[in-house]
Amino acid sequence: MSWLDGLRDRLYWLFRSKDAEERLDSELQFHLEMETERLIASGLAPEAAAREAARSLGNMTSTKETVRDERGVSWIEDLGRDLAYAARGLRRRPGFTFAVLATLALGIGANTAVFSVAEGVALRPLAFEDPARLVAVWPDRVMTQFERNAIVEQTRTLAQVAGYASWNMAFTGVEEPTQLRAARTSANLFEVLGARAALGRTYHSGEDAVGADPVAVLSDALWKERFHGDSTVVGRSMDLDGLRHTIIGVMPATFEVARFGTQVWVPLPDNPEAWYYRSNISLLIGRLAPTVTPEAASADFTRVIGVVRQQLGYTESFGEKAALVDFRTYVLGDYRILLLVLLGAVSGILLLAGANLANLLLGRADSRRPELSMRLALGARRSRLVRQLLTEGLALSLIGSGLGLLLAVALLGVFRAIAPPDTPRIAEVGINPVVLAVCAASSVVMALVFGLAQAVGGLPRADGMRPGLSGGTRVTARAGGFLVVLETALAVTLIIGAGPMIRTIGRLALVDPGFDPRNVLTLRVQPVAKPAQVDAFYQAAFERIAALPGVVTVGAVQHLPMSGIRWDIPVDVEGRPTEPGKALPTVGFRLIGGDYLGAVGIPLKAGRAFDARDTRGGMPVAIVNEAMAERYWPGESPVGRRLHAGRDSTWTTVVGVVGDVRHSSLTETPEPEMYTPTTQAGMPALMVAVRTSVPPASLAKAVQAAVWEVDPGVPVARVMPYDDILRDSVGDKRLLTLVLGVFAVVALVVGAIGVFGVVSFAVSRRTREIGIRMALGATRGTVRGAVFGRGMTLVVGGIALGVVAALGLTRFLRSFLFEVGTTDPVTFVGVASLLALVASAAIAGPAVRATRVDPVRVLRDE
Amino acid sequence: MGLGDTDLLRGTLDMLALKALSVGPIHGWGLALRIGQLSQDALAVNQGSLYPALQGLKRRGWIKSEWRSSDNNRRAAYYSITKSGLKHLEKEEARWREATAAVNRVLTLAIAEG
Repeated sequence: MSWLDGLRDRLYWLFRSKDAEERLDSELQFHLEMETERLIASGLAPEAAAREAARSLGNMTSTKETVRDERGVSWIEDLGRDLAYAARGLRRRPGFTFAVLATLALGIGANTAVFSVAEGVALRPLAFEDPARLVAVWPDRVMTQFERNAIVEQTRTLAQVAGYASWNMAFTGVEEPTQLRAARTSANLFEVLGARAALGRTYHSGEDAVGADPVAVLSDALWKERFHGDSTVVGRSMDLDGLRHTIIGVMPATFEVARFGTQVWVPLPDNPEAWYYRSNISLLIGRLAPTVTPEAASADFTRVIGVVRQQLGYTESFGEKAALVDFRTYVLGDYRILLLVLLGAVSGILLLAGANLANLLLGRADSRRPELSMRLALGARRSRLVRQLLTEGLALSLIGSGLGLLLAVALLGVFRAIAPPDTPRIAEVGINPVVLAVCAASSVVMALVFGLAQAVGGLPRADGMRPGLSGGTRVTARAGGFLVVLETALAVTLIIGAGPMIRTIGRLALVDPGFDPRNVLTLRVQPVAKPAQVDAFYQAAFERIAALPGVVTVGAVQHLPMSGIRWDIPVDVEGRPTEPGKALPTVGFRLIGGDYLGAVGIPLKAGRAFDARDTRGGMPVAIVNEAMAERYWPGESPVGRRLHAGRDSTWTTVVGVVGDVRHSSLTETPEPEMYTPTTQAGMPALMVAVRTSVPPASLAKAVQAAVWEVDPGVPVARVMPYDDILRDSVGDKRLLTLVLGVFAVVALVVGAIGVFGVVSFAVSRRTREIGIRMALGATRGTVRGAVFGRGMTLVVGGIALGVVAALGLTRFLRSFLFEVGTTDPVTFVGVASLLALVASAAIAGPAVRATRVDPVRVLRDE
Repeated sequence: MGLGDTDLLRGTLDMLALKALSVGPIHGWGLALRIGQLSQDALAVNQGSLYPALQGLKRRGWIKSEWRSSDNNRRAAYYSITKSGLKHLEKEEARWREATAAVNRVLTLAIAEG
């Protein structure tokens, strides 16, 4: 018979299986009748004959089972029957089913979501050609074009070096002029990265020569937003910073280099005469020459920096910390560690969930022992029972993973919503085949754990078939003890690891940023004009905006606090000379106009704010913050003191003192900082801040219109409430702390419940033993003491293990904490005592109940 | 001696069932009886093993079954041997004879030496 016939036969039997069952029944029935008749004929009494016939045919159930197996289709039938049976069983125990499914969904859901983020952001290689050969050249220092050219000339190990400067460019000559996040780069950028345009072309080496035609490459987002995704855009022109550029290409959506959210790439002319040639504006990206190892390149780079230092006449200290950094490490920065920490935390939760599940299942296995023993005794085969338990596990874990996947999708939505927009590669994050495979693998492992845990715990040994046996076995007892230790240790580790995080969040909520971002509308404005015209433009714009109903006051600054951009300026304070040979100290530097201090709510502590006196011809003035006052004029008033700011040789006089502002992050201490008025040394592009008495978003259109009433050609961008910007820019640590905090709370709950469940189960299973002890004369007191002692020994062991693990874990977390030590004794002692308390409550209940049990009843159950 | 008790004799039960069927179609109960008679009651078929064995033979295509009325007008499944079953039986018989002959030689030798 060919395999095809065999297949047909099996399918036939599968679909006709009801028929087949009936036939098998009637065939065996026929056999019994014939045999009975024969025995009666040979002289046996009819009843004895029937008994003898049945005996000689043997166990009817097991015969049928064997026949079914021989038929060869039984496993499919069995699967169906097992699934139906499992469904019935699970419906009958909704509590158990809910506990298992919720634990699974939580564990797998959280794990899948965090894994997708980690996979998308940190594990997947960058979308460049041979990304492992890319390096960031001395990324700690912002380099100049001048230095780049010197390095290119000297290097023997870098095939190419590209310069990359972040720049905001005015996009004018269109209906709604705006400002774009641009990157001005050396022309070889795309060659270095090995990146191709999705539409048109990228620019090539040489297109940054002085006098070359200005060209621009658009981002996918800008192309869709401002050019409606029109494919004829290539060859059209656009005005950037007042200069006509030809659009030559559009990059794919996934193309991101160093500044995320860049909208346009433009070559920066390589011009030694240009003002920016010696300004520190560029990140340098290099590609290792073929066959050069990173080590060799690093060694050569040290030599190159030495030569460049001599050539450019820099001081000895130049290049001390110069290094080549793997480009991916540079791009991802802290995110990599951060995600790995997160992944570790989530895996811990999954483990906890697994331990909880194992515990639930051991309990289930114990309560199923009588049933399973009975079925074995009735002729079911062991392999068949194991298969059924596995099927049940599979059903549970598939449903659980399904729910988990739904949860993961929801969590990912939340992550994407609260992640700062400059989170590297956040757009690439999603549920993809790799993520699905990991999710499927974890659910299959869970299914095996389920089935086998029940099989090991629940199936009696071949020699020990004792239906009715209601206590546990030694296997489950030992497993239970192990679970107590494991569960406690895991819970302690996770909660201690998360404890400082929770306290960090608490402290951050209390931090005063030094300004008031509520009810502030911000917008980016960039007039393309001469300085005097710029001053007049802002003056007029401030007046018009201030006149709008709902506006309290208005001002402007070059970079708002928390916008992630920081300018420093060297200062030389009168009467406080720096040591000879040492570089001048620097302080933070903000240019402000209008009533900026009032608009963002920075309090004036002494002296005066800037006003109409502070013009280009007037005495140069500055306002300092309290940190700067404290550093240079401790115990004195800085008002009236003088300093040199930057390369300016005229004195600048301090006229006021304002409160400290946390400019870069809520977790950082405020640094010395000075403000100067835009009306004395301004710059065209400013962030305008409007304080409102109504919800700020409602004034967006009116404020924008007011600006365009003054000059309809002025680019306006990013009109949004300040709160929104803050949520974006402070997001990074807040996101991590929030996510870790959520996990910490989950860990606390799951851990406490788990410890409670495991411990109380381990004690309650000893009811029988306690009954016997009491029957033999033990008093309640001694029994309780013994139960308590044994339980707490396990718990304390677990806590000790957990504390050791947590000490290791928290060392990695240090950089994310704020004003909280990592080996914070409050957390350690608190968590340890909390869990000890939970555990003793868990032991006490069943221990007391066990000692109230009537020994006689327990013994009778035996 | 019971047949079908162990795996070793399982193949033997298959062979005997095929042999008994080569005489003519018969139902399961009759087959058990027939094997007993043919062996002059020296071999008793374990009836619980018979039906699984028949199902296995059928799956391998060596026998087939059909429902017919029995002598006393009751419906029963009648088994009959197929062509490939006959061929398999021939092979099995040859192997069995070879094996028993070999075993016999060993036993004779053992007796002679003892």
